[in-house]
Amino acid sequence: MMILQGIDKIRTMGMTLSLTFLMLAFQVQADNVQFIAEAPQSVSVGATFRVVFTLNAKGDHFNGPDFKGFDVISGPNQGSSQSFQMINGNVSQSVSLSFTYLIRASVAGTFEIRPAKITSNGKELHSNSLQVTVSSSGVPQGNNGQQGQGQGRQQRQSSDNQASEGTIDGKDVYIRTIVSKTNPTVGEQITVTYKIYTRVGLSNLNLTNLPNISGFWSKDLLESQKQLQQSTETIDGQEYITAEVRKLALFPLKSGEVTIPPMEMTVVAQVKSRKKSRVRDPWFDAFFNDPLFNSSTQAVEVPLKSNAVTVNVRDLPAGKPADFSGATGNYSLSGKIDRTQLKANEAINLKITVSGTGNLEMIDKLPITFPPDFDTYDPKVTTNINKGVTISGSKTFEYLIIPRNAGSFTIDPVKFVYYDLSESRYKTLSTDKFEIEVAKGDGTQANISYSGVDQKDVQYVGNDIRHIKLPPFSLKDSGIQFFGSLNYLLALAGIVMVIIVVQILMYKRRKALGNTGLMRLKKATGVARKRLKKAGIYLKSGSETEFYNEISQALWGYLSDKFQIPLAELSTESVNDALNARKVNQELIDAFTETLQNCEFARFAPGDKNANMEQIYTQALEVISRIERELR
Amino acid sequence: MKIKTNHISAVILTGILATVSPLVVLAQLSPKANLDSATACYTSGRFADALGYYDQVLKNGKESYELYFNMGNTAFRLNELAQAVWFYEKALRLKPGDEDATFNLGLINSRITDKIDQVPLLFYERWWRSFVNLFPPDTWSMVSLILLSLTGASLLLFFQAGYMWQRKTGFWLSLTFGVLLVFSISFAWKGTQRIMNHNEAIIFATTVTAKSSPDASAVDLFVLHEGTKVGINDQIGEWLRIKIANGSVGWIKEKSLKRL
Repeated sequence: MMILQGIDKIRTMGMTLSLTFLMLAFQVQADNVQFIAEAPQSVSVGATFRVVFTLNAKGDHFNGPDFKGFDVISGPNQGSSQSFQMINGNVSQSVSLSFTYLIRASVAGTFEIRPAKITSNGKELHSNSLQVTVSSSGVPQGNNGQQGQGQGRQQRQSSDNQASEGTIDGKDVYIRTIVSKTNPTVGEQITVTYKIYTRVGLSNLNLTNLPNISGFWSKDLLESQKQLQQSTETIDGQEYITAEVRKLALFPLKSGEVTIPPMEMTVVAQVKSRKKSRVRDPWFDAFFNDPLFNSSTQAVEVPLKSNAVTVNVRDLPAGKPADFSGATGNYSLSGKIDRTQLKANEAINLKITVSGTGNLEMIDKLPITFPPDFDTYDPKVTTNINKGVTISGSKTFEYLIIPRNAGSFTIDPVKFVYYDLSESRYKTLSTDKFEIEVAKGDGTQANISYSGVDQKDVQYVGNDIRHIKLPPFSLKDSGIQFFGSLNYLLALAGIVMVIIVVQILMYKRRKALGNTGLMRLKKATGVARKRLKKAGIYLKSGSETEFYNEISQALWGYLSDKFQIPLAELSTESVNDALNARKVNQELIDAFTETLQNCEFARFAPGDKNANMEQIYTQALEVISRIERELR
Repeated sequence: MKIKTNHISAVILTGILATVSPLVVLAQLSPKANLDSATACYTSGRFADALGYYDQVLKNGKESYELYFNMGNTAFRLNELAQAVWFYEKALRLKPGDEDATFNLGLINSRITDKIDQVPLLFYERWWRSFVNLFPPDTWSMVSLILLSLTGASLLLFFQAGYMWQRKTGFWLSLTFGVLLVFSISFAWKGTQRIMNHNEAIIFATTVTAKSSPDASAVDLFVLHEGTKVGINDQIGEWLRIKIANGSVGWIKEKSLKRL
């Protein structure tokens, strides 16, 4: 206002030529009051950019647009500048008033930023309206790794000026994930570096999302580093300041495709914004548009996200030895024992050291077997890891062992099997074997007993299946069982047949022998019984002669058959002898002979004939049955 | 006696196959060579090769207790536990109650996933089983033939002896031998049934879920793992009704197991 008033005064006074010249220049200025809105033509979703309304005069009552489709982060921030220049008597003066909004594109599309209004010198001025194209999450956000770069370059060329006008795009600052090897084997080290590239000044680096890398055993290589190490790199002719934000040594635990997730962080970028001089002088422009002089910086918070990298982990080759330790790399093994000659109950210290490069920490124990009589304790494990470009170091297993009994013992060589990456094969390292001479203890230990032989149960130190059967052994046709087979049935039938045949043969043979004594012996009782039955009939009918005939024939016939004496030789004496020979009771023999005699006499005896017959009949029956019983 | 019948069967077999004799001779020669190679491979730790040789013998239609036992050992060394269980069970069928096979099977059963408590057997079931397991079925068959001969001889004594005491002895002997004969035939029959019926099986699938009915959408009852022995009661299509040692019953698909 003051200046404008001054100009009016000068105009009315009508000053010198030089002043008039100056006035003319001001005239031009005054006629040329401009209210301009500036913003990038295209941004991507999520990008933060500035919209600047500049008035090259004094003004007030600024009324900004509503920024439909954008989020206003801050603004309007008012700024003003004046410059007064006099070169070779040529004086120029400029006044500018700026209103800056920091806004963020939140959705894709093309949006119009409506004109802003301001009152200057009593007149209401309208700025121009702007078209801003918001592209869906494209390149300029900072997430352009290797693949995104080409595209990013094109984007850059189309809006080359805009970086200096208040936006940050993917070319100014970005993070990349750099993986040293994308197809490692299980257990092989790969190095993952998250590196930040910037062309603008940065402050307040803030990790918002530390990637949780699963499927790997990881080791932070920058753990001990307090400050980021900066270096310069030239990419596509542009000089960048780079720094490794995070560097990890990763050892894949399993095979297959594993994705290393991106890292996210926010930085505060110092964005240079250039004031445009209204003076259209190429010489001035060259000088004053130099950012060194004619710029102001503005802090913009920029979210950054690195690219995700997929690593294809190859499995270890087949033929993994049974005692494979899981270690991959390049190792050496050494074993040291502090003494080999000692007394019982004294301690030995055995140190086994594995050293080399690779995933040392994967080795959790060594396959070591001590003689069963030794007392052993869990080893003390010391790990010493150097973090260089590759992880290397050593791991020491310290065993404390105490022999309890005297004798010579051998600790078998300790084996360590690992996968050698340089030779691409499994390698077995082994220590020497350790021979230990244990002398008898000096008895100071409490648990030594001299009272007798120290007896113990048999110690089982392992179990395993029993050994195979060694040939020769008989093989038979499978699926054929003897039971129920034709052979079996034939054998069964054969045996039954043999039994039946033998039975029949024996029966026949006996029958053939039957005409002589054997058959008669068998028939004797039968014949006698028949005759006695007949005699019984005669007894009832009272026919005396036939009765006595039958009785005597029954008795004599019985004897003849039973003792195989021909009828002609039969007499009381011969009967007596035969019965005596069979050891028949004498009283019975007498009874028999008496019955025989009675039978002869009774025919002629006086008295009741029927009563006599009755008596003889019962006597004969009794005698025969008694002899039968006796001979049995 | 056993050797004798084997001879007889060999003679009969040779007679039948006389027409194709050149082939038979070749096939008979190779098993022995295969067994020797297998033993060499096993001893030098080349278990996969050993199993291949043993398998060759099996493919030639030969089997024996020792063969299955050795195959069980080889499968165990290759860490094929289900296979190993199957082979040992097979070996135990041919020679029931064998100490070595029982020991090895016990060791492997302690390493498989499923631990199933056996339903205790009643005393007569135990006796019956131990009698059946006393000899291989072939031996029981031979015993039955011997007992049949003895019964016949006793009957001869009973029918033909002249004296009463001889006949009495013959009677009691034939009765005793007759009863023993019936038992020996039952044992031989039972043992043979176990070999021929294939109504037991070993689970070969890593895990298999037993269903309440032969239907994939049926309720899951229990989960079995590799190496568990099951009995098979029934079959509907590809579904088998199985019973495990603790008495639980469920349906699983046939492809998840291998019959013994």
